[in-house]
Amino acid sequence: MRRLAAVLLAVSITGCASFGGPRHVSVVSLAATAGVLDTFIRSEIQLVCGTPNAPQAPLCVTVPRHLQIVDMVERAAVLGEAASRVMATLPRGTPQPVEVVTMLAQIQGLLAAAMNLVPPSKDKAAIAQAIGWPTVRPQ
Amino acid sequence: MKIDVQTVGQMLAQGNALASVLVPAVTQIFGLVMQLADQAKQRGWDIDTRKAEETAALFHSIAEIARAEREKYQGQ
Repeated sequence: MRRLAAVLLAVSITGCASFGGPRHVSVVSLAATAGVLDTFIRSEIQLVCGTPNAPQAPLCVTVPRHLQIVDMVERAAVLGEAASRVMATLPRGTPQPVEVVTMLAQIQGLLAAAMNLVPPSKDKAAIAQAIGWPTVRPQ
Repeated sequence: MKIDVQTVGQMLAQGNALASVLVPAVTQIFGLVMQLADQAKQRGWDIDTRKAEETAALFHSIAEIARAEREKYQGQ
């Protein structure tokens, strides 16, 4: 979880976010996190056992695990939507709200937990690379 | 955002089904970040709040995808 948080933080801070103010950092972090979450769930759906082109067991995602993953993704998305709505209402010059920073950390934690439920495979490694998760090695 | 062009190229060459999702997704994320940077620079780093609303909409659609998946697989 800490590694993914570090990666997402690095994306935000070493990217354009480092040149803006505190509010800009939150908005860019949320936008990048939304992109990561979207990529993750759309990719993970293709790995569910029985889905055409999904890897064979034990490399595919079982249905019970998939249900756990979609639950985490839904919770992360609900948090992200709420945080984004907060950011959309803030005037220029507003400091980064603590609640949004907390929500971002929760989202990243949920995403990390969901990612950990995907069995190691080449496909998981490809997803990990696409979303900037450096710890997954191809099997 | 780490973009490993070699890996994506290999996936495309192998006809990996995931490439059809990952390639546009990576491009979209990268494009979004660059777009935000450009907008912010033009506005003296005052990010367009519409972008935050768009992000909220994207999160909403992700939640919808998750709910649809739960509905599809629950009871199996």
